[in-house]
This record gives sequence, C-alpha cells and structure tokens, in this order.
Amino acid sequence: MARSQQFLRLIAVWVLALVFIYAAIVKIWRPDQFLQDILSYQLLDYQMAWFVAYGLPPLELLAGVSIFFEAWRRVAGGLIFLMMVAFTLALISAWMRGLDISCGCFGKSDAAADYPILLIRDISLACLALYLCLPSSSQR
Amino acid sequence: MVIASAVLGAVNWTINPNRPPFSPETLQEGEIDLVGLAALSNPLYLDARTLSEFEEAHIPGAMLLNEDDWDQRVLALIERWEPGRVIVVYCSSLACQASHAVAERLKVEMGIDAVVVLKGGWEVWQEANNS
Repeated sequence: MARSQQFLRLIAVWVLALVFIYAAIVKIWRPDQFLQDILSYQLLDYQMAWFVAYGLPPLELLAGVSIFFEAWRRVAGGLIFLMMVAFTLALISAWMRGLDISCGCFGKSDAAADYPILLIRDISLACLALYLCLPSSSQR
Repeated sequence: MVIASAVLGAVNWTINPNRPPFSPETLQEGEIDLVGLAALSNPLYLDARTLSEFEEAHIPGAMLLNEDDWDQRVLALIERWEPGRVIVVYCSSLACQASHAVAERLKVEMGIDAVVVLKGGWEVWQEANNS
C-alpha cells in the first residue's frame, strides 16, 4: 500500500513539475504574448495584467522546481493548488461570458480555448497538487 | 518564494527583449494609433472580429478577415489589395488578439509587409468617430 502511494506521489510530482516548468519557461520567454492572453480574459486592467505577466511565470517555475524537494513539496503543492483554482475560476468566468480566447496556459496558442477539456485538465492538476499537500504515509 | 518570483520577474523585465510596455498607450512594433492612422493614405481596413460583430457595425470599407474562415476570405483580400497599399487590421479592443494573429499570418503566409494593427481596435475607432 505504502509502495503504491509512493509511486503515485512520484507520478504526481513529475507531472506537476514538468507541466509547471514548461508552462513557466514559455511564458517567461514571451511576456508580451502572455500579457495579451491575460488581457483577453478581460478580468484585469492593463497594469495589473502587466504585473501578472512578469510575476506569475517565475512563481510557476519556482513551484515546479520546489516540488521535487521533499522539504518544499507541501508548500509547492499548496501554491500550485491555489494557482490551479485561480486558473479554473478564470476559465469558468471566460466560458460563462462567451469569450473566444486562447487559453494562454502554455504561452501563446493559436487554438481557441476548448473549455470542457481545459477545465478537466485544470481540475485534474489541482487534485494532484492537493494530493501532494496531504502528509505522506511516512510523515504520519 | 513570492519574493524570489518578484526578483526573477524584474530580471526578466531587464534582460528579455520581448518586453511589453508598462503603459497601454505605448505602441508596440507593428501597431498604429489613431494619429498614425490619420496620416495613412487610403489604407485597406481588415476587420478581424467575428462575422456577427462585423455585420453589426464596422469601419466603412472594411473587409472581414478572421481565422475562422481564412481560406475563403483571404481570396477576396487578394483581389482587392494592391501592392503599396497599407493594410490596417483591427479587432474589438485592446484586450483582443485576433488582429495581431491576422497581421502575423498576412506577413508570414502572404508575404505582405505593409500590415499594421490598430491599437485599441474597433473600440477606440468608434469612440473617436462618435465623439
């Protein structure tokens, strides 16, 4: 049981780390395109979106790297969970307002958002992050 | 972690060449404002919004060209555009990206260099022309 849990946690760590590190690097390289993606959600004014365009990707990168380290895992998992909740709420808001946007999840994307698929993906990632926030069997 | 992110963000702002302006008024490469637009002689307007938005109202003389129906509508553009004539692409507002996407495709796929995006799009044009 403990072994299968360990394996599951390892999978969760790698999935979240790879997703967040990749997403961060793409956005860090093109803050101009990420800013346009944020603006397309029509939730933040320009200056606020500018700060998010520069501040969020490094936070994603640090969370993605930190999750590899046992000592930081719960904090990073919690941070990722909060980010995923925020992304999910933003997506739901855009969907309800009928906005035709590109997700912006991995930097600039030509494809318009496929809301149901994006929501399933975001909620799955949030669940993985929440799972990592729980104490492992060795910590109990 | 939050402080470290702020520091990394500041470093990125300093060294990354793809930095967006802090002020929404600042024009980026390939963009034009209403002042610049007034200086253009007989530009060809392309409306990158949706068909329903276009049908509701558009800049007089504008053609519809968005990514939903690209292949069919780009033929009409080829028939109407003549070399040297500047193409001005616009979409709904500062927040939309469709005009940038259309301008990029015209440059890359059609080899048309004289393409600019109207900053603020339909929103600023309408404000300027209704006041």
